[in-house]
Amino acid sequence: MNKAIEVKNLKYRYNDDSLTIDDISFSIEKGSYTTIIGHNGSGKSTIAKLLLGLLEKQSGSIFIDGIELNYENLNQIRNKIGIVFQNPDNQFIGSTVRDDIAFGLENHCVDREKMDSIIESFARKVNMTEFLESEPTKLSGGQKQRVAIASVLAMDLKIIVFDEATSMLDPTGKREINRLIKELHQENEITVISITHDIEEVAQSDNVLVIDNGRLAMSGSPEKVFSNEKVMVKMKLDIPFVYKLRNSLKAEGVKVSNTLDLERLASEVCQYILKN
Amino acid sequence: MSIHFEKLDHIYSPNTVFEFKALEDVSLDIDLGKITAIIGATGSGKTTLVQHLNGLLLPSKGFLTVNDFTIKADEKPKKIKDLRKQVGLVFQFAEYQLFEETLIKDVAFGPKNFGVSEQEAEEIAIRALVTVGLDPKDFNKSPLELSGGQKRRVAIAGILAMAPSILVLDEPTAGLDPQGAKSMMELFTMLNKEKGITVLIVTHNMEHVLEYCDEVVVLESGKVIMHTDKKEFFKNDQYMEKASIDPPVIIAFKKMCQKQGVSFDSDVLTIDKLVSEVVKKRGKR
Repeated sequence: MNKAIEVKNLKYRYNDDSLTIDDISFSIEKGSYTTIIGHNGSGKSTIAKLLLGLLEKQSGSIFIDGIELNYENLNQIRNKIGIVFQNPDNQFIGSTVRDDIAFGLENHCVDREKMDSIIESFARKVNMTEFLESEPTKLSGGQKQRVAIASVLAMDLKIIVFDEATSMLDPTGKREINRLIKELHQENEITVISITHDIEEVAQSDNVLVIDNGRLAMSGSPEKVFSNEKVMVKMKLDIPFVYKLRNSLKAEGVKVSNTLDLERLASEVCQYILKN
Repeated sequence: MSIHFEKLDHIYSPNTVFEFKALEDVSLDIDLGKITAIIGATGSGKTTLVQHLNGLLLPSKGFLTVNDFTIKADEKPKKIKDLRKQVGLVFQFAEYQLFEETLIKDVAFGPKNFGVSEQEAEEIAIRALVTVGLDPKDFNKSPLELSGGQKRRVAIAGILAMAPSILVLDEPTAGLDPQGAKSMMELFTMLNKEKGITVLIVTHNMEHVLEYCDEVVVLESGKVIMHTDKKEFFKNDQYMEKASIDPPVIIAFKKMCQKQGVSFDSDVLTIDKLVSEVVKKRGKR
């Protein structure tokens, strides 16, 4: 079993009008970094909530790490998958950072003795050790999201969904959280599913799911998705700078590779200019 | 007619343990008729600065003038209602402040408060809703039925209904999808170019500054550290670094090249120009 998530013919509606999620199927490989994009109201966040069992699907099936999600095994599922929400102010329970990370562990009946060392190791991982006794309300947006990430990690989850986790942060906070997500993915083999508007982040992911009007409009590598420029524009999505620049360079005969990495493209351009 | 700050300080909770100087010795002239970006790190005083413009916050020291109005420290401001007709302030996440049953009622609330008759207020509301690009078939809906971006447009229409000559927007594109943000910026550009409205935008988005703004004011720890036109601003990325601002991607890219010994002119700010420079540089060797 190398699928972290498998979704088959998923349907969901909020009210009687129309389907919010209209027959979506996809699968996500273990240890991969998947981004989900789509304009506001396309159904991205609804998918996230369905994966976590926070909303109940109407029909179809969801498998998390090989286990089919249903009402009976919700607890088992939540030992595997966690979520970090958009608004940093909406995810605190504890009165200190330490209590907050402890909350999930208490619910999972972790021994008191073990708990302290777990809390400290995950606080270290997200670089929040010096704030363990601080009140969450006094932290910056980026720091709050780091605590939310530590709380999820502490429960030893292997799949984490980030639901626009950086969209309410300032550029510094955004950078710091994006870096942390990347690190977690690379070093801890966490399967990352990131719902995002940040097209530069999409360029760095392994796979992209494009959602439009509750349907899966496109999926595949970033390269494949961006190459479908017409569809992207129709769905009100951006094409990243690095992709546009690379293709404009190629069109003018500049020899560069098919990279989506800005640093790499910069050094290729420099080599092209400097080495004849 | 102008916007002028003179040696202005703003202190929150003075003479308490929470005392905090949010603005210090701010002197600033903002040109009318332009789009000016106010940038700086979180907590640098951007919101505090703009909330002085319609008398929502009062200076602790110094003064400011907006057109004919002067607001001084230690003096109760006069005719503040008239000032608020001229300066429309749109808060961060303004859509949270919608409260009426329908879009029209929500937007008409402002003009009615300023003494316009009910019917006239509704006509003004309809015009404002059309200006911000909302669909007339939604005008009698509840604001709650709209998407986030549409709701924010309703909030902006509510301010435009008061026909301000100065429009101040505090992070108007935060949380919107890229296309929603883009069309929002295009709306402000239209208001500026076609209706001559002076626009001030608090933002973190440098791509927007690069594409839509004329002037840039940089704040750092409550002080204005720079005020210049856009071109000049992007010539020198020191200020962006100092204010912990992410430069536009094209400037980040040029910087990466510079580290490897290839420098591009500071006025190379579009992909087309960059590509033709690359081709030219190669040809020269």
